[in-house]
Amino acid sequence: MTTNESKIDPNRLDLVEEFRQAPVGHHSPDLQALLRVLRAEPEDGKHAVYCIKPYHQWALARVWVKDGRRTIEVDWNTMFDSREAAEWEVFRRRWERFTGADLGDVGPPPRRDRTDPKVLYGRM
Amino acid sequence: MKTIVGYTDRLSVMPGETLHFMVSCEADVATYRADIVRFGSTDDNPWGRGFLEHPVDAEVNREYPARRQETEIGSYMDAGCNPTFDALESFSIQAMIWPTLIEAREQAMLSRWSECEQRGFALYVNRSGELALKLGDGSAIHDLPSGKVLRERAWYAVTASFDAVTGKASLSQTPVVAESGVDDAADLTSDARLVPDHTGLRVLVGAWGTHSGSEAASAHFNGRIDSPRLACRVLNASERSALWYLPLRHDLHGSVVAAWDFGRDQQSKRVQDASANRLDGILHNLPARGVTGWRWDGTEQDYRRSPDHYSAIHFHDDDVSDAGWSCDFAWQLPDDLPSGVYAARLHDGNDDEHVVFFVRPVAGKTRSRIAFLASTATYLAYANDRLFDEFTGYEVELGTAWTFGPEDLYLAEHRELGSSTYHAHRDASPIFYSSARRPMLNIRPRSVLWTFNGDMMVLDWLEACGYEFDVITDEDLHREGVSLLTPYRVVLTGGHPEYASRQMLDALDSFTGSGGRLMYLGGNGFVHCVAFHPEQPGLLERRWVHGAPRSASLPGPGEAYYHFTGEFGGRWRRLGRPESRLTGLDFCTSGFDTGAPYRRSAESFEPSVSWVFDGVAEEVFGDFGLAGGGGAAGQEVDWHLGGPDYPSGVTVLASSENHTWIMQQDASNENLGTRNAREHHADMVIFERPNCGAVFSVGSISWPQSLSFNFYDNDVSRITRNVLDRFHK
Ligand SMILES: [Fe+2]
Repeated sequence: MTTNESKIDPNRLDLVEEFRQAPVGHHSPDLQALLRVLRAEPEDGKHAVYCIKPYHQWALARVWVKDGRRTIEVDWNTMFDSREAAEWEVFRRRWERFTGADLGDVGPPPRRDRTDPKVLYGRM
Repeated sequence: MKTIVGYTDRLSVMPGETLHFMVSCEADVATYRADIVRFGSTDDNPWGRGFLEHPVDAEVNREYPARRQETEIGSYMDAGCNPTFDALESFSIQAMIWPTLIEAREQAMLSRWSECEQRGFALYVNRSGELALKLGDGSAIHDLPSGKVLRERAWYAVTASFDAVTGKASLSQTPVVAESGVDDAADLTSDARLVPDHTGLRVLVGAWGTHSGSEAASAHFNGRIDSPRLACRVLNASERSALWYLPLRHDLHGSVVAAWDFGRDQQSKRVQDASANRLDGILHNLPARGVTGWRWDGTEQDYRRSPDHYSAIHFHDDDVSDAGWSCDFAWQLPDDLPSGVYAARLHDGNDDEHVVFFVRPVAGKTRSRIAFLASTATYLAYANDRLFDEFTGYEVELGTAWTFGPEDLYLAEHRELGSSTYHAHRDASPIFYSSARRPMLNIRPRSVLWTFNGDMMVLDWLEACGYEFDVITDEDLHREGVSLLTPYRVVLTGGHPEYASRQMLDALDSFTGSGGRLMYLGGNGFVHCVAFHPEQPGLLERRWVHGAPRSASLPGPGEAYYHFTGEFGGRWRRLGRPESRLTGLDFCTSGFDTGAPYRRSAESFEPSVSWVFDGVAEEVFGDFGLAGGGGAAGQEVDWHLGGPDYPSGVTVLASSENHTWIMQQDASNENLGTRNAREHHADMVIFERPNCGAVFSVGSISWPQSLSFNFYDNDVSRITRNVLDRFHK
């Protein structure tokens, strides 16, 4: 985490809240810069999402690299009922990984109804 | 967890033909159940009909014994176990080699070796990365290493010999271009103290045999081998030098056992032996051809014009062109089976798998004036895409966290199923080929909404709206040309018909130029050139000549020509066939986080085209979509740039707006380079072609993923319906 650590200001909780409100979509330039750093998380231990049941259930996942081979580890104890919640958890863990600061009790993004056209679906 | 997978011997099949199914079970079960189904919908999205499969009454629907099938991966040449090889007592072997992955593992270049019995001879790279000669008689081994580590991606002349009279073994390793300060040449002789026993073994190039009598190979070499030779006596230095060149020098004919010519007959699996013995070799698992050899000097770019400069084959330990599984069952399709997208649904008590295939109509027995063109060229190019193998920064381009499914977990554990053309081989060289003769875990229902499962949204919509239609595939179009399309009034594509062969483009041009109507319901369509193998169905070649995306590698210099066809590869625009000629659009930007709605243009209210929007109340439409929410325009989108590469009379009906910061310009479209005036967007266009032909293009991969919203009662569905109804009149 040494090279990118310095690019993140752990006091910018306003950016954390901006992301929580809209994990995907239009973001302020400062949040864009933050996401560029977080999403370029090193691939060994990179956080990801596992789709257990399309449109219904997701879990936290990590990618590990050993001897040039990548494996996917699914954390079956950390499950979500929306992609927004999964994206948020990935963000939260990375924030902690990069800054060393715990985001504490900040809850998941506001829930949307499953049939809401704005709900996050795809599996990209 | 996935525990059962399978594949068919081809992707597209006709009623009356027989399709073979290969299945492998990993669960500890005695049997699995197979049932043929036809898909209504392949996806669980909550907006439409949900996942829907129609049972098909087939005699193959029953229980089968479960077994685990092994996949042989890695390419090599097999020259068999001809008696001429058995007669060898003294011998010389030599080859030019270009290693690409030196690692702690043995890699054989030229062998007559049984690993199980530890007998025979082999010229190989040892675990320390040195050239070595191994001789074995079944009880003892004589190993002669060069003691000098080979450099990756440098050409070496390597030779070895055994003298049956003196018992001497010799080895030499000579860099073709010596680097100053690098000590990598060796020439040594030793006392073998044994006579190698190689009787009855196969001669292999690029691997060695696991045991005698077996077809299996191991110790696959990563890299290029050029001009492999085998002689029946110890040659002197000048003879060895002369042996690199073909045709063979006259006086050497009596001594040369085999001199394989990798530069000629590049399309064939058979490699010709230029010696008098004609001990031709057969290539397994499709190593890369049309690649430069040790003599290549940059003066020639086309392998067919200068075979001597392209006398190398690039072998990989992760090549796979045919998983080679035994057939579990074969099904002769009933003559009255309707065209559609089908699967064998396999159930092992734990996991459900669908082995997908496409049933096209028999010529003369089409049942509709509407055809759905399944983008099988694109499905193949993406087959077994390994998102988890992407580089760190790729998530920034996606704009969302990597999201995996069960197929990714399975692929991560099963390297032997190969990778897609969006990745590189283990040695970082480009993957040129994709074969349908292996389980393809992203050509299946409920998978990521990309290529197959995204396209099936169109199939679902057609059926839900009550249209009768046929299903045809890219490969059918490639092999049969425009005659396949002639019975149809309208051809619809899915969301991402990215790849096309020249024959496919010719057929679509001819179709739309002679009264046919094309509905291009996607983005990034008809952009890249691919070649289908002239014989083996479901075998595709693509080379990223004009820039490589993601984890793919560029072909090396001098390697732009396709091995299957001799065509120059790359982006169609640069090959003189811009996609805009066919679709009225240019692929320009991508971003995979979410989508955006379209806004109607002023021109769209003209009476000549306003019918497209009958029943559409708002100027802004399509602000919904399964691809990351957002809207019908997204993922990869096309612009109408206009100019000389466009057909005349194109009307821009609508353009998307309000895309996010994730969108970025496609660097390989030089047409866009000079016209980057507008913000990222998709354009929807319509235009006429001569003889009442017409084209409607939406310019967005996400379009089909909006069709099912509100149970198919929405503006995206309405517009698609208006155009289809008008077009097929
Ligand atoms: Fe693509």
